[in-house]
Amino acid sequence: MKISRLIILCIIIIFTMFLTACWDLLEIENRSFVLSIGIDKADETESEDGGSDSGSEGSESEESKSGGKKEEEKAKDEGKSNFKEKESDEKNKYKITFVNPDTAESEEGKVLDFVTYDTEAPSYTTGTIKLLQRFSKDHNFEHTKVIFLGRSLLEDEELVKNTIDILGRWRHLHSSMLMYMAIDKAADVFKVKPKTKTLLADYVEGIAEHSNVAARIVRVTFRDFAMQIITSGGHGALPIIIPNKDEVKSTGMGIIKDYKLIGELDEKETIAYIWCNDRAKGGVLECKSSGCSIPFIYRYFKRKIKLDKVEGDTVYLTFNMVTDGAIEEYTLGKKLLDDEKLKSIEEELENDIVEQSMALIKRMQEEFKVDLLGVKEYLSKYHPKLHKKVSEDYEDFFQNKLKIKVEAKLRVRRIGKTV
Amino acid sequence: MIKDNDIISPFQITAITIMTLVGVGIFSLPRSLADVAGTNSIIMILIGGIISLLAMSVIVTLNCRFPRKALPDYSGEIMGKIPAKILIFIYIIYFTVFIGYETRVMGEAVKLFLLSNTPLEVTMLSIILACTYAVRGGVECIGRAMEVFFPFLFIPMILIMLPGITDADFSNLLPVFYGLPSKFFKALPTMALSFSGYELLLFYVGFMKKPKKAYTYAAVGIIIVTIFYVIITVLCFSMFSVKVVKGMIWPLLSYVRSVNLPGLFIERLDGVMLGIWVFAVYTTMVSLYFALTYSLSRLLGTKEQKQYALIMVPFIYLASVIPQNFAQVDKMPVYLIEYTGSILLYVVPPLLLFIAWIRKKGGTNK
Repeated sequence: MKISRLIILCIIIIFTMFLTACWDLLEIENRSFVLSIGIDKADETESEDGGSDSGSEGSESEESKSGGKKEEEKAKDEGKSNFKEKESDEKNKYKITFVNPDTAESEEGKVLDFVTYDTEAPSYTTGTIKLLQRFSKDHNFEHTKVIFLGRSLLEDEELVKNTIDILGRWRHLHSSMLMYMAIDKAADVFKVKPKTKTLLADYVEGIAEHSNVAARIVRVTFRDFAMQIITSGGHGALPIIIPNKDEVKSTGMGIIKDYKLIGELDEKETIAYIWCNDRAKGGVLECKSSGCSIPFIYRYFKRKIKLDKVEGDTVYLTFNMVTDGAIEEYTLGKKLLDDEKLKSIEEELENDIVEQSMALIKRMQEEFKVDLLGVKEYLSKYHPKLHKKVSEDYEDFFQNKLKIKVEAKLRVRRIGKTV
Repeated sequence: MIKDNDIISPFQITAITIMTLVGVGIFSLPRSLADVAGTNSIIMILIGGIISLLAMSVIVTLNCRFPRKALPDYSGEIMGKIPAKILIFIYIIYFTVFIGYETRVMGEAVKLFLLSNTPLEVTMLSIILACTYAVRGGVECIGRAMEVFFPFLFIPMILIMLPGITDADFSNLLPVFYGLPSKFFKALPTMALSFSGYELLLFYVGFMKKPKKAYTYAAVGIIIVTIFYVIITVLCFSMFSVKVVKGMIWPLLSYVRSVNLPGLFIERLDGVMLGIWVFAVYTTMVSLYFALTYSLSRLLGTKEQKQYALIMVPFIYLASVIPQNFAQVDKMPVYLIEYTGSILLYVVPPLLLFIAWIRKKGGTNK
């Protein structure tokens, strides 16, 4: 009898020791999944005002609800007391905007509204902690899909370096998040209420998926971007997103050189950029010669670099581009079922590709002076000795001693069905 | 002498070799290789595999001279009692710190990715205690555990890594052979580090009925590990490129994290990967742990090794909390394996074999 009691006592003691707590328990309803994050450079003047302003708002700017219902705004305890939030002396560097789906507004399990919160902080982590002062749930970043970077942030070398490190180091974040540069402020993107009833993150993700059929849409994940920046030592390109009232548009690219935004590519140059970097999966080319325009649709595009010769210090490269596809639009009364005709269209389109690519290459070499054409990568992989020689002063080499030629080979395979 | 009922089969030797070699290192292996060997890493792994095969055959040859005996049993015969005891003591310290290191890295990874609020002590102590349970079962129990875990570890691991191939750019593995001679000697110690663990064959081959079979079976184990390392490195390098891998703390985990399976009921696989990896760490720890308790029992002249399993828990725990931060944890294998381990792996066995040959100790002496 006594022994069995002792055993029970022992078991209880052991159980209480091992079942003290479930430390990491977090119920799903207490999680709030952040779907997209916007990062801007903090507005210096604004934050100073915020510090001296009345009451609890502090430097953290208002908590706004967008995407559906804007009205019930900020429960500001105006002038209830003379309590003044003491600001830390640290200067705010970031303005971070988080977007969570508003689960309270869900309809039949579908969440369509989202809530936006923003905060200003000297660092990213502090920002998330500061946000907890006015947020009841636990932020979860495991499913973050899109990151928007503001223009002013990208113009600041230090912040760009910092941001890429944060996004890479932070254990919650996933490296297949999409990256975008907002044309102005990242926070503006979240003011968009998509026409179709979808969450903004899903909407933007859907647009990015179209990069399979349209070369003008660029899909850049954080991994792509970080790889580009790290391997090239600070150079990269990000697709631009333009927010409008009820839609966003992905167009063009921002060029980053030495961790700083230095310029933008327009749509045509973006397409050339995608070609030159061998990232094109599909798209459309317009042939305008014979009066009416003939669009050529391609689903295959390959770029290969070839080293032609090295003459003294000068290196001659050829970009070989190969593509094939179909024409599915013409005009009545004219014949397309004609090899000669197709040959002439092919020739014209090939010239277009060469022209468009050469224009980008010229701009890269002369205006931006940054190698975003994959030349360095090619040389380091296939001609390591030459790469070592030229990398002593790579910028000079890229501008003056590199001669690039583009050759295109295009085949129109199919011509549609007609009636 | 080893008791008759403690016997492990040749296939278990293969399993033990593989499961011991594949430990905490697999997560960081591509990074340490990228640091020293760059794009030549694949070649360095193959060279490391060949060197390991040679060192392994020395160990097995030594064991074949003393069938049914493990290192603590025959070292006294070879070099005399007192030096042998000192050697065993060194092995004991080495194993303790090694298990401590494995525990710590496991704890750190689990803390970072899975259980961020659970105290580190709890995760670490529970895995050490789980190990003692297996170790108390004796060598047969360990052999069987390895056999059982082997498919559970490798099949899901390969399956998890497969979907990432679509994103991989294999041209990132280039250039190969460029600048190899200059990196060769710098990379060798790292190779020793990632293959360390098969010195345990000094212990386990003694439990085989026919130790000669260990030549083939242990070799198969090392070859499988070499192939596995090559796969990991190729995938990580082609996914991220060497320069990026250099900066990663756990490249393999980052690789798994960037594999995205939209539409599947689990989108993220890193949790699964970590779960499997804990198995890999557990098996490494168990096989080291047994060698530790066995050495202890021979050092103190007892027949059984069971009773030392629990006693060593606090020591292992202490070893695991030596490093103050992750930078120190990361530096630990350099002292532990590159300096100490290499000697115990590449110097001691040939030396013992040489002395045994000179003094005509054990087995056939042709």
